[in-house]
Amino acid sequence: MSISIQGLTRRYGAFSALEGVSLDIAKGEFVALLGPSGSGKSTLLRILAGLDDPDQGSVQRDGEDLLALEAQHRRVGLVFQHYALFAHMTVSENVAFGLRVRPRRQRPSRREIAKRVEELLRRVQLEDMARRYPAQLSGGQRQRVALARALAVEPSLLLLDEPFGALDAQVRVTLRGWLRDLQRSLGLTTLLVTHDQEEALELADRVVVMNQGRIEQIGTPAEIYREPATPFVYGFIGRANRFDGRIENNRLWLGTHAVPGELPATWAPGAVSVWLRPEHVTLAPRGGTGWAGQVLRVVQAGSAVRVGLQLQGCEGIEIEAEWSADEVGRRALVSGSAVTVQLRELTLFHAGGLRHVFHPHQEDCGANGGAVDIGPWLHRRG
Amino acid sequence: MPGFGLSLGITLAWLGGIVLLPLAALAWKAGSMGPTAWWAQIGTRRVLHALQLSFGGALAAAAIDVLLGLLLAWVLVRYRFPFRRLCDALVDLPFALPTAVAGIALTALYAPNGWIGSLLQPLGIQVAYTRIGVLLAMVFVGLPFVVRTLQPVLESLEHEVEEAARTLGATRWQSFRRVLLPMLMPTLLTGFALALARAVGEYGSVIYISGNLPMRTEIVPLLIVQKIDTGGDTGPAAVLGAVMLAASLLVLLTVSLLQRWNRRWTEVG
Repeated sequence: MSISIQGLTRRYGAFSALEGVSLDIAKGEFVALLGPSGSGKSTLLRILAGLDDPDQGSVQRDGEDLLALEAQHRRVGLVFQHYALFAHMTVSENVAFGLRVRPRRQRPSRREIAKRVEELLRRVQLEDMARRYPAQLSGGQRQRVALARALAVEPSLLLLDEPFGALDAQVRVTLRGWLRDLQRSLGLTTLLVTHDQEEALELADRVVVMNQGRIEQIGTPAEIYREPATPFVYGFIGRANRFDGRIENNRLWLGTHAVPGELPATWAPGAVSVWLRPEHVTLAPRGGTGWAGQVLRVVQAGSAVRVGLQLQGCEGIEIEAEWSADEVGRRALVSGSAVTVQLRELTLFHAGGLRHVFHPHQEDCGANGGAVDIGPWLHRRG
Repeated sequence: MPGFGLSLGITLAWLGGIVLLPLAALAWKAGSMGPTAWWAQIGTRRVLHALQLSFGGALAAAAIDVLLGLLLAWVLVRYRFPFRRLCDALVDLPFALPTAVAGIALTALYAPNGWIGSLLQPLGIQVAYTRIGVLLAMVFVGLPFVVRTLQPVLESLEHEVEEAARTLGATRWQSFRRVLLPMLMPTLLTGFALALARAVGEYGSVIYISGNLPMRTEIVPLLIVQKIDTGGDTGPAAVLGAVMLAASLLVLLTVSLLQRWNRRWTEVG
């Protein structure tokens, strides 16, 4: 079922947990709410579940006012980070709970309940665990029980609150793929709350990035990653380097140097914040032009290598580049190696919410003999 | 296991010297009396009556303590209100008060001319010098045990479990009855056992409010003291003591078995 959220606001005293949040979720869509802790994502989830009430705003489910319903009547499945299983009930009793507490007239017969529970346990691959107690299960198994329990009441909306937060990295990845398949096959409208960007980008059809009670950006995972709408999103998703720059005479200035490239003609002079992805720092071909620098550190991070660089003229400041282990090996890069790099794509944020993707003209970069003094305005994002 | 030998040694020495030795002496003394002497001590209507009151009263008092204690602990843990800390501290008072003081205070309040007693009198309810009075004193001394055992458990219960129950369609009552209560049951039983043990052994407060009317409001501990006071021989007192001991053990054992059954879900296997 589709959900329409309009202008939700929730304040706790002076603290504003949600500030005019609006969001539409289509039927069968998987939406991830992504943000740091305190960004309001959990508050939104709790309001949808009926465990918290907004100060303002409305939530409609297929045109019906969801907020008017008590939590127990909403038919919203909720899965918690710490499972929240009923420890004194067996796995099958846990799953059956939502059916057994129904008023007598709506309650399925014992046999139907048993059949439903069996089906659900097969779906979450726990049919052999039916008689066990939660204390006898692993974390991943417990979370699957929690999911089966939530699905038992045939929810119109599934809410997942950091469902993989308490699990090992390996279990997390397995369970993630499995959840994605399950959600697809059920066609269930799902809202996932997470602070793990990888999880959000991998699972969701659309990602909602939240910060300080507001929505920063809504988009597909690719849009969110490739075209971050705000500096916050740029910095929150993926790894990023940040610099301070300025616009003068319709040129981008980094310190005392103008970086060649196209700028929107309408941009007024002033300060801009300049963002750079580690993968957009590339090694210039041998003998090619670029920005001279020195390798400060080489950190192996799986298949990729993170290289800390210092560009000439800005000693003491490190920017991060990400290269393949292959390339680093071929060039025999170690701490202290001299390199020439090219900055492929800079994202500029100007006052007033203006945004521009800037592609420096590489051929002009070496005007200063390969070394551009970009000065002490270079900051590495902490 | 470092320190195992030493700590076990101290534990056993303590249990042996302070707990088992006096109890063994009691059993030995009682055992040295013949069966006829035993029956002569226990078989009188007065003693049987007292036994019935002691255990019946204690069981009833412990049951009331569990209900009251659950409510009290719930309010103290779940709600925030002015003077909550003061209320919390007051719970311990029956622990600290000499029980004779409590007994006299309760008697003064509930006597037919006392503050509360005088209000109950027109309704035909008399508390002091009746079995209700005995029950009241027993409830009074046992209550803190239930509250104090429940409080930490209630505090550590995850709110999420209740929230999960609500979103699954349970009413507030259903989530209390089917989720919270079963999880609290082992603790409630512990509180019950402690309150029961305390009420069975209670002497000071009961003897003041009960009036000690033979066949009506006499408790076994009082009879034991009387037997020691009247005769030079401690044998008869030892017999009554042994009977109480055996009965108490039996009751506590039953509670402990119930508790194990109730906690079966916590055992990982």
